[in-house]
Amino acid sequence: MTTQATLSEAADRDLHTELMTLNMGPQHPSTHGVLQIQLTLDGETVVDAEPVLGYLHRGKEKHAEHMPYLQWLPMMDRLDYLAPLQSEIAYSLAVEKLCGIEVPAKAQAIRVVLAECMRLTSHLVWFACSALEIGAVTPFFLAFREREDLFDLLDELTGLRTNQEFIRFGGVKGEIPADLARRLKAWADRFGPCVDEYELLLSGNRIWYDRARGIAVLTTEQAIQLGLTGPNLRASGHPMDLRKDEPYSGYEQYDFDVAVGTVGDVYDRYLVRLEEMRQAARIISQALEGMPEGEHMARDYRYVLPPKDRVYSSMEELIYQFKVVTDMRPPKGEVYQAIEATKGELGIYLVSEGGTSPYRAHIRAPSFVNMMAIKPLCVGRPIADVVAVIGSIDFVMGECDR
Amino acid sequence: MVLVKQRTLSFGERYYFKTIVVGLIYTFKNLFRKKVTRSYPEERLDPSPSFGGVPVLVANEDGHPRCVACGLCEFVCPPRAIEITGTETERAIERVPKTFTIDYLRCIECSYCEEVCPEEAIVMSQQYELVGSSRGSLKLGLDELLTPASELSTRLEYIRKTYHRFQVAPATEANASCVPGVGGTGSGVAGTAVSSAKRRYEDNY
Repeated sequence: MTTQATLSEAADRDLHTELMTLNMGPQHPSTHGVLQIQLTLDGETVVDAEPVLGYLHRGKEKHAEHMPYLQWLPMMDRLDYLAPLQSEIAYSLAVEKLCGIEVPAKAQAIRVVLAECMRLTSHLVWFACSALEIGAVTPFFLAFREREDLFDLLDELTGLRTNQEFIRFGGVKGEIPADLARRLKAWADRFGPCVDEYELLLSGNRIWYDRARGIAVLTTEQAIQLGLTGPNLRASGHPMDLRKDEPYSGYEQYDFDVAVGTVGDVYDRYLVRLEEMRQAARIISQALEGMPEGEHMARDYRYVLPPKDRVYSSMEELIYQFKVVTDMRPPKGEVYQAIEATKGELGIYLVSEGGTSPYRAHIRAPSFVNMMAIKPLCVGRPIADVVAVIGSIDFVMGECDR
Repeated sequence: MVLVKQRTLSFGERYYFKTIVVGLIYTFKNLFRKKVTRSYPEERLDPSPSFGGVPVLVANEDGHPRCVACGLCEFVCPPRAIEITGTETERAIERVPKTFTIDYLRCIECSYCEEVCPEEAIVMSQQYELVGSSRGSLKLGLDELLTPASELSTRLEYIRKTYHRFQVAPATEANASCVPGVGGTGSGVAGTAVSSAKRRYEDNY
């Protein structure tokens, strides 16, 4: 319809306008990896925008069908590589739901800390890149400075900077040492002023402001119809947050606010994410302060690796060790577990037939669904706004193509 | 729920005065802050004990591998980077690997091998630089992988602290004999170790 309308308008004005197809990406630096958008342009106005996916397709869901449950866990890191532990938590929760494993309170608190750290690292990358794409270079260095500090701390805890593989079924791999917990808390307390600093430098910058305010407005109805979740939906004014609505990992114990936008433009999506960063730092601080005593792994040795000191000394645990690794068989059934990941609702759907690997696994990737907003947001706008829209939607192609 | 507030630009912001002044002040302040970058090849990274580089095999004092070729790491390895063929031996452990190959190009450093190993025979090293002139040169065999336990002491200490979950002290005298390399054969036959393990078992269930 829009195509027709623009064409007839052009005919009315008697201009010799031809529509042009432009392939934006997959090597375009602002398409967050390998997204290709086929733009149909009328002069500088976008008439049609069609995202082309699949450049990073690695067949993760198919992998699950012939991999033992434990081996699929590192695959989850490669979904949203900016927030790897979030996906691990989602998958672990799904398997725990399937097997009926009860996760100790301490492990839940550690998971909350890690999940919120991931929200921070992911949002910091979003902040850095989306500002850079619109032409502000300084925020990139500011955000990566903080991200680097956080990564150093996470590196010390998990042993790896990204793709940490720290979550296990029934708990987490290790506990946070007291010294590290203190430093992490100090970092989280220090982080709030950093966000204020970002706001001071960017929110009132007119070049940025003019390119963000009132651009690509998405109404609440539109956002719900498109199936958006996460910060994009909240920026459009719908306060849906799975951490509040369907709490998992003990999120109901923490005191935090859900940031909601009023307009639904690029500027609102920016403000909502900044507020989320502040709230995430608050949650980390609370979780570290009230860290429960106890163990960080469940004791259900049908599905959880037994402690190593026992494995060395006791025959029974040695047998469990081999059994869990080679022959872990969750009961028959289907589960769906969704978490509030950085990009939105990340859901893992597993069908078990009682074997060592799932019969079918499905990932509800928030990036994939959020990408559907590109077309309605870009059509009718100048081509320069496409970059602003991509940056504000914030998707990761690893998760989108999976 | 907290509603975010969109701001309107002030006069100074609209005509860039404030933006420029704030930006310059910020830049000036940063001149005197501590540098956050590292000149990498000159300034080396000092990895923490928890750092998991590529896996290596632990050698006992006598130079033999601790590995008993049970194949658990080969099975659990998600990218299938490990290949083992086992053989029998006259030594007390009865079984040793004939060949043990790790393809570092496939390894994703997830440390599952270290976590499942029942003999503390494969551990993550502190090595974070992987350079080779060909694909084959990063596929290491038994001889290249064997590393004396003394060189891996920080990592061994770390994994004892992390994976020995019910233990108060990392290596008490009672169960030292059942931890391979600490004082025993790893088979847990010493009387004290078995009885103390049994006692702890009863405490915990």
